Amino acid sequence: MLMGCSCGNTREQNALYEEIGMISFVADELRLYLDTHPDCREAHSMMCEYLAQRSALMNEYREKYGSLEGYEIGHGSEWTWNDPPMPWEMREGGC
Amino acid sequence: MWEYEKRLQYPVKISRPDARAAKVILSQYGGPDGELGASLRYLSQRFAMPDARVAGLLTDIGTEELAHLEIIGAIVRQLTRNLTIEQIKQQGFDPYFVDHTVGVYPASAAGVPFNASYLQSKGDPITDMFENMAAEQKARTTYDNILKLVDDPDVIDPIRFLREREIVHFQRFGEGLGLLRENLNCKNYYQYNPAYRGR
Repeated sequence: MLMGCSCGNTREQNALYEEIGMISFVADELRLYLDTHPDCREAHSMMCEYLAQRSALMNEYREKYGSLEGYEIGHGSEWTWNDPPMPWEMREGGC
Repeated sequence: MWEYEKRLQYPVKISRPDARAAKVILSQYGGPDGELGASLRYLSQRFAMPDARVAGLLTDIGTEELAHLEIIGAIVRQLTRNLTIEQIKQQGFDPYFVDHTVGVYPASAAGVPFNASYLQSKGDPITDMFENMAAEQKARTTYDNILKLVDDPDVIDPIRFLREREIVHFQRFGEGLGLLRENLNCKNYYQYNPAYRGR
């Protein structure tokens, strides 16, 4: 596999990671909106749709690279939770 | 409880060290209108909030503020990790460096350590909601000021994201205040504390 940058992540991994970030933000925004508009059907159905997409992306990431969530675990037999890079170490050049 | 997700809410990718920028941005970590104060303010106020919708809003915004604290920490880290001693001296970072090296410590830009007097949890839902709307505006002003002081597009980008979130939170808290007012007893014309009726 082609290496994306010095952090050791591949470009494919970083692209999936970024996609998870974007779709999660939609959910963050909708969650706050629904807190003060609990009867909004439109926002509710958008939330369902985006969370389903997010769940699929998280599953794909976990199967390929290990879990981003503390209550989930990757498919391999190794403990990948603390594999670098940490989120604050992401940097230019592929990440 | 909280579950950590191993990602930033918004990406931070800064390659150029800048001690001056780090020093002013650090104020949003542990300064008077920073993200640490914001998260503690909302997560503490929840306990006395009688309206479940607004208590949920406080939980969710308080949680997002913790994610913003992490973004600020990431910005400060990436701005300082490769500083040379010469840059530290030239860019006025030596007073911070002597106590913290390039570790991330909750303090204001002027070096005042984080203090809980930056926030209030008054036990009165109406009062607290006004406190929160003011807090979001103060944080937005601080980000506006930071944007006047930094020039690296890689720094400006996440700061603009955080500034935008203050505006959204202000809006949501305003709606939360509306929900609280709708449910006030109609005889409570002066909006006395609806959460405590002790005698």
